[in-house]
Amino acid sequence: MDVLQQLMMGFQVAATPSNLMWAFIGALVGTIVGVLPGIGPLGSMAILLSFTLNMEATTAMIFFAGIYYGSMYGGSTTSILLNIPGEAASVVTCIDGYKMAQKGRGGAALTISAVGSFVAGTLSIIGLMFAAAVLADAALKFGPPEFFAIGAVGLLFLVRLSGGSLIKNMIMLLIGLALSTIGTDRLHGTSRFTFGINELGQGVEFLPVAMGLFGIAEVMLTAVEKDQLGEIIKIRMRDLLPRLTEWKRSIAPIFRGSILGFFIGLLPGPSPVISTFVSYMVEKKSSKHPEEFGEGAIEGVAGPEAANNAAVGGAYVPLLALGVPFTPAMAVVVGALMLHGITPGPMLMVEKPQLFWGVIASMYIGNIMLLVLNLPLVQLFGQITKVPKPILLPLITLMCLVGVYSVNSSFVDLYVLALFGILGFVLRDLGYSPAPLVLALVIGPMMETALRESLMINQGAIAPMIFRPIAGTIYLAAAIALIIPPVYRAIRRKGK
Amino acid sequence: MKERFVSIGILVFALVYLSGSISLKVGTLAQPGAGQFPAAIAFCLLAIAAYHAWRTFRKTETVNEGRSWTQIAPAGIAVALVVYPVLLKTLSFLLSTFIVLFALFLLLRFKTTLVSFLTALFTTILAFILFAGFLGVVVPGGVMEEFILRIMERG
Repeated sequence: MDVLQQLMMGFQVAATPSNLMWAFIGALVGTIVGVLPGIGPLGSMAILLSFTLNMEATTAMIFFAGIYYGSMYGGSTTSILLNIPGEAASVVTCIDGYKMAQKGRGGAALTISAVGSFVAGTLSIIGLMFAAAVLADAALKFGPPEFFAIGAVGLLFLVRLSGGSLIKNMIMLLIGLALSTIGTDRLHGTSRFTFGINELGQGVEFLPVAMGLFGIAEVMLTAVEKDQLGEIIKIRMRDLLPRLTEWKRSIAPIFRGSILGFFIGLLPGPSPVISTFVSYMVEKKSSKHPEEFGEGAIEGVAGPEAANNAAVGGAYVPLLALGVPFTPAMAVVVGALMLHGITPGPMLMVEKPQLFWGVIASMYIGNIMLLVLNLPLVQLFGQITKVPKPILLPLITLMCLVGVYSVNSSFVDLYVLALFGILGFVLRDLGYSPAPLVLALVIGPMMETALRESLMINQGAIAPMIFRPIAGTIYLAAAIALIIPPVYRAIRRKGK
Repeated sequence: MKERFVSIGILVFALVYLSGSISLKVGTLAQPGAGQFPAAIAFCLLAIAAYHAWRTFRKTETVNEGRSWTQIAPAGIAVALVVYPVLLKTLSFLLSTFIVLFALFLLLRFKTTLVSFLTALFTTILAFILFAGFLGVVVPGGVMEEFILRIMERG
């Protein structure tokens, strides 16, 4: 009952004209960003961070939630109509979605994808509501050792799940942690690695680093890529209605995808992307017609599209309940909260219930908006992919430059942006993922403080830090999760 | 070659960071100093960076090394990024933003020079109105900025 009352209060907050407007703008921007190949939700959230300066914190969160959900919706449009994933979480949708479009069932694929995303989004919000409440309650019992354990385990998972080279991910993580130590030491007030630059006393700002690594680097990488856009497959309004058999075949995959997506979303790393691949494999294995997969199976669209939307709700759980962002996009959300002087954590629900429940309520509203927005305007969104690079890239660069400067009116931030933009281009080009660096930069200070406090409490003894009921369970669960898959693979290889 | 260059860069960063962290007070486990956490990070980074560099130099086969870094487009964007703060400090917002934007349009070959010029001009003014006018961002200003803000106030 308490949860329902709080949710009602959240709806009152979310339904103000200003919040509704920003939820709509966020959903629209997110859809456009999802449609445009290259600039993903993360880059756009980083670029638009400065726009939230004049908003209230709740409005800013509502805006970002709209962008995140919208991008997941939008990504499917180009996957189905153009065979080009707008962002990484829509890659799987290309496989069967585009085949369906070639067979004249693109409209049905788009509708199933939008409805699946809506159902999954709604279910994951329900999950988020209850899971975050329970986890936040439990987190009130956490001490410094537990927070260090969550940070360390979260980063380790991120390194393992980010894909690509493990060594490169590890290097990026450690560079991120190293950068997080720049500035005045929180416990002793000592200046560290500031080289006499006053602006660095507060530490390396998260915004120029994120904008550089994700926004500017993306612009530079896109600038060297050749345009390979094909023709957009035309969809008429009446084509949008799926057949009864298509609905029937989609229901179970949507629900399976929603559940899978939500739980995968709780894990650190690119959870929306992972969830789509897992969902696709599950659907293919459980299908009565596995031979249709790759040739235009509706289950191959319904499941993954539901999964990537549900993963967004899951990703909000550790952030809202523990204050620990497990995905780079959530790190940007933390950045936005911090710009408004709010530190996310277990107390957020108690101290700022309007913000917590307002954001959750806005997600329901945003999902309905996206459904209404996406289906009738699908052809229009498809046309957005035709915006030429020579106009898009300079505009994004301008947004990044002015956006970074506008936060602190600092020239140092502009140099940091330039440095990380160029570094991001070089490193991403060679397969170094920027996500571990960005997350380590955000979580690093919390981890360092928690570690030092834990050591002081325990007189320098490490064992009591690890063998505590909650911290010990976290380490044990992580060890099992990280060790079992390689051991299982090794056993299977030996068996063969 | 690029991989080797980057791996050496990371190794150098690790060494510099290690020397910096050791120069801070490291303290004991019971009383950790400001340099303890950085030193721990630095040792781990140095070990992994050294291993990575060793692996990169051991590889003899040619691997796909991504895109060319010296292409005109990314190089031009990089120059624009570095030059912009310098221009912004010395010139006003409108002038510096216009110069950088116009250069980027030309660099990425956006239609004709005249169209690029007009688009850059229009976009710069729009960006100023949006950021300085509506969002209240304080940007380095001059006569032109004053003029636009006055028009907005009257409007």
